Amino acid sequence: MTIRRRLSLSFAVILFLFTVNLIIYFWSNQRRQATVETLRRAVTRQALISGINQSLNDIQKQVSLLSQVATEGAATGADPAEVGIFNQQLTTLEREISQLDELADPETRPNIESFRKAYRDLSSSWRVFYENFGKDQTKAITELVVRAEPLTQEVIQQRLPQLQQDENKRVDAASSNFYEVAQLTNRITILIFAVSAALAIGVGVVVPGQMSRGLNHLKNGATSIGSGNLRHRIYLKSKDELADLAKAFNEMTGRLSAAHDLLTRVNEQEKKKSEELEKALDQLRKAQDQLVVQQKLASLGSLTAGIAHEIKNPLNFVTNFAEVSVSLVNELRESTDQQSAQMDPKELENIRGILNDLQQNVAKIQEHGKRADGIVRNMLMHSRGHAGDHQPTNLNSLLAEYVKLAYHGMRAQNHEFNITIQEHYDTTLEPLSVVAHDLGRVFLNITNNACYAAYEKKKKLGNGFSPTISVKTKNLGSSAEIRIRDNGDGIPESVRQRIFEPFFTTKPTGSGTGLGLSMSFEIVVQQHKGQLQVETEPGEYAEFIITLPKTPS
Amino acid sequence: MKRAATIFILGILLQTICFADTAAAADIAVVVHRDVPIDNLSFPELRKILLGDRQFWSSNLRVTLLIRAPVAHERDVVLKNILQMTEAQFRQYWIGKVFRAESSVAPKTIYTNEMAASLIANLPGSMSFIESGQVPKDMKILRIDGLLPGDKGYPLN
Repeated sequence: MTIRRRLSLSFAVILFLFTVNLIIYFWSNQRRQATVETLRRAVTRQALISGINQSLNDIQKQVSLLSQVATEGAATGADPAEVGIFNQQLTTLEREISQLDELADPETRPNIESFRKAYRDLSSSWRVFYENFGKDQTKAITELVVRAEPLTQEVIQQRLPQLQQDENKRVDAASSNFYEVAQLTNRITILIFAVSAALAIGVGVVVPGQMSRGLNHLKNGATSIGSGNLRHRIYLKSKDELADLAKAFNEMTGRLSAAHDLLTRVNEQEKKKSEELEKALDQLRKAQDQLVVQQKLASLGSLTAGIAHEIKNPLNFVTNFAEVSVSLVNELRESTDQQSAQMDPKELENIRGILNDLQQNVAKIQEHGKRADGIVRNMLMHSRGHAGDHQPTNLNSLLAEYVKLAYHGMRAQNHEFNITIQEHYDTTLEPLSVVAHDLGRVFLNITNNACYAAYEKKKKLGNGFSPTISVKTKNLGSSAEIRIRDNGDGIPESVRQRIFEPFFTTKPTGSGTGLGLSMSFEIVVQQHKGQLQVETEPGEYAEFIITLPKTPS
Repeated sequence: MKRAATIFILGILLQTICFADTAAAADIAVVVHRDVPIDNLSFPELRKILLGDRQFWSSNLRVTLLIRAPVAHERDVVLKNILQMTEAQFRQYWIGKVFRAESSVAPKTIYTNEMAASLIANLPGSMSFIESGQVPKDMKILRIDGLLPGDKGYPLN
């Protein structure tokens, strides 16, 4: 129900109650007046009857006393003036009876009529008595005894008391009716007042209460929505203007929410685009850096190839002639031994000493020449690129094999070396098409570096530190991930920027060529189109992550 | 005028004296209408009737008391012998009784014995006092304490 209709209904109810009160008031007033009028008429009749009774008794006493009075002039009778007064008394009394008849109710009228008739007979008899009193005493007394006295008995002792009794009953009934009507009207008035009060209170409580609840809902809803909760909806059960307002409010909130969602989605899309752009930019930068590095590496490779090629020929001469020199020194030592008897022992000893030194020098030249040759061959291999074939390879087995190779290689160089190796291989990883030999070199290089870093930290911290490397493989669906982690000192940020540069090494001179990670990077990224990343926390760990696509492009 | 009045008064006085002489010699009879259902009255009952204390002969028959006007011998006998009252006391008594509504009917005053006889003959329940010598033959006379006028010990004389 609408508020307008509710208020109209309340007003109608109040108007109805007001009308009912007015009707009850007028009805009560009318009933009271009617009962008062009835009571007044009854009391008036009662008073009239009392007056008539009194007058009748007076006349009767007058007549009775007159009947025993002896007049002086026995033949003259009563004074005409007295007779006139007596007749006037009787007439007055009859008038009062007529008045009583006029006031009578229809029920009592027959009794009054018969009373009036009896009175007329009585008054007629009294008149006869009075007119003959003193003149014809016999007639007067006869009239009195024969007619008047029985009529007096009838009128005064029967009819009049009957009328009095009737009127008393009527007065009692009217009085009782008056009090009953008063009580009834009072009860109805109180009842109507109570009902009016209850309805007024009900209307006064319910209507503002409903409006207040509705307004509070709207206020709370507006507060909630204003604080940003655009999902909030205002539910009002009523079907009034407030419900319409709440509906409009909800529709507005819905539109606001939709607009907000759209704005949020657009913002998210923009943010995502921005992130994608940043990512693309980052990748572009990385690609650019990688390109720079690759260009650098390529030029270095070309340079290295040239240098290696140029160095390799003289180095071949050096190593070959050193090898020839070793043979010559041996031949010289044999011929010296054959001619030792002919030579001065001291001279012989000296020659032998020189030959030993020469042999050692030549051996050193040969050794380092071979080493230099190995380096040059590596450089040439690095610069030439890789021409291995891609073969389906079990990465778990390959990684395990090269980890063991690295460990034993380290053990071969240093018997005190020991380290804990944790291996976690994903068995769901299917064989990948890779160049196994090259990828093995990658695993070997990184594992060697890991073992070196962890062992260096062990040497620094002592037995309290347990050097550990962890190797993991993981099937990422479209790619395979290999993680090799050590708990060494990690890689400082300044070093991290350069670890993939050729010839960059932090190892002591002679312990590393600086080509391991550079080659590994080239094998993974260039050759296998994968990714080689490093995560590190200086002082805590370093972890190399190799990601290889399952379908190389 | 004065002479006529003087003659009237003297006449009355003479009549009174004459009646007094006659009464002294005759009993007063209590006469009633013939339908009165009793024949004998005790003296106290007679007194009650005269005082208005008994107003009915029977349930339906009211006593109508007829008494001669003052100065009459019958009235004097009734007042002196039965009621032991003076005229004034008798009047006062009945005025009071009527005004106290102890009786609605007072004794009726009659002027002559003939009037009394006539009324008694016509009025049921009527009772009067008439000198025994003037009572008509067909009139019913009540015994007083069993005595009729003329009997020895009759109280009304």
